[in-house]
Amino acid sequence: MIELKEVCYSVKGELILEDIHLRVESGDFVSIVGPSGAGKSTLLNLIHMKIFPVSGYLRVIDCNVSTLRSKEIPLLRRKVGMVYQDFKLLDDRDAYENIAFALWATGVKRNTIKRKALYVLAEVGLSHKRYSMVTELSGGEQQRVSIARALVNEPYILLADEPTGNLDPETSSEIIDLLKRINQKGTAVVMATHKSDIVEDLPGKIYRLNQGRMIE
Amino acid sequence: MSLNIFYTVGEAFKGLRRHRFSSVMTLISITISLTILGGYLAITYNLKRGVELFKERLGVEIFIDNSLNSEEIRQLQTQITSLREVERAVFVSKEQAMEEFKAEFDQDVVAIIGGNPLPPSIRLELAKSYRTAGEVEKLETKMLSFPGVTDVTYHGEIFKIVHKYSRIGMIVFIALFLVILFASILLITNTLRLTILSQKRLISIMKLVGATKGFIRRPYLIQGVFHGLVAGVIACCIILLLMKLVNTVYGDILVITLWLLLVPVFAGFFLGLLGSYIGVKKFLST
Repeated sequence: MIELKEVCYSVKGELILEDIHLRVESGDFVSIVGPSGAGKSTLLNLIHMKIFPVSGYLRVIDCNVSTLRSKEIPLLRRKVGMVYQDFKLLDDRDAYENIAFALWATGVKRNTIKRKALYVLAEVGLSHKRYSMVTELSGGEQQRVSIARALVNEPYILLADEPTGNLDPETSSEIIDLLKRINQKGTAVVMATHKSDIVEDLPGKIYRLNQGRMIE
Repeated sequence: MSLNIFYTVGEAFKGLRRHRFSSVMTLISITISLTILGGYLAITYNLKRGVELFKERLGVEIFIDNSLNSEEIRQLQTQITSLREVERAVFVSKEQAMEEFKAEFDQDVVAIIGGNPLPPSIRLELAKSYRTAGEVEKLETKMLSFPGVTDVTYHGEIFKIVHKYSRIGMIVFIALFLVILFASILLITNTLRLTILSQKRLISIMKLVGATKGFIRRPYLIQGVFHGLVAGVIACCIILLLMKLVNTVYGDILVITLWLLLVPVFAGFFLGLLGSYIGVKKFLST
């Protein structure tokens, strides 16, 4: 599903990622662990095609970065959901509208939007708060909305960039459990985190990243 | 992929409601730009019309030999009227000329000098494209070659001055118009860009969830057109009110035409579309 070989990424001559090899198969749960500034977010942004490598081979699902056309990127992103530490929700809307927005923005028909949005809200356990403004929700609930939004287009892969970064240990644990449940249903999960303790009990592969290089 | 047009339009108007303050400020800025643009066109149009009316009054008068009988005068008038340079030719008899003289100077010349010294004449109103000093000079030569024409008079110097200044005026008008148009485009584009900038987060989330560029762009184009059209209609009303006010105070000196009033509306539509297209383009490319 995801394959990186000898991938390098630099900004203004400064090497951010060097000689990265990574392979994620369907249904995998992959953790990328490393301190702040190690290049974890950069690696996820490369997979999400927000940025592009300066050299190496990168393939995500059926898209090879060397032959990718810019208009194919939005279509790829529908198959690769992404959640962030800061949730990136629309503060002027409620939980339901945030999810419906993702469906609307990807051209889903009007009568399908409600059904899908309510289903995914139920999946993340937020049916009862569907009409709460996101600013009224706790950090954990906001992250659940963010995950629901990433899942609503039924992606093959879910990228999670420090999903527990802003959360207390108890809520972090709930979010990790949610990600595990999502993975058990068949979605590949790639999670980047600086908290090495939370990945110890996780299934699947663990990659350690430091100063832009895979060390393990 | 469904176009979801109703949702797109709904989202565009929800966006306007959610960002009420910036929407109102955008509307005010665009209205000011369009009022200046439309008002300038209205003033210039009326000035140009005034110059044309003035030129129309600068007619040419052809004096005729006293010995011509009425049939010969009628033939001459027909001959002159058929010329492409002539819009209208009106015969003024000796008696009519005397009446006008009396009305103008309040003196009975016939009583003083014992006869009517004024010759009959034909007054010409020139076709629009021949109201220049050069054309009038050519026409004078042509007229003098007609049998029975004794003299041709016109305000040659005034023709030259009006022609010269109306040409300069036209150049100044076009230059100023381009400046105002350019300023309007800059202002409207920048205003809409700033409005879109305030929704940068929304655009980045749309990109994040996989919205295509066209899909992201659409609601902003609708908002831009809406802003432009509403501002255009408001500008149109302001211009109309101001012109009516001037006409009320100074007595119908301005002509209000439909196309003049529609200019701000059409300009609003196109500049709104252009401005929002340019504004959103920047965020789509990054």
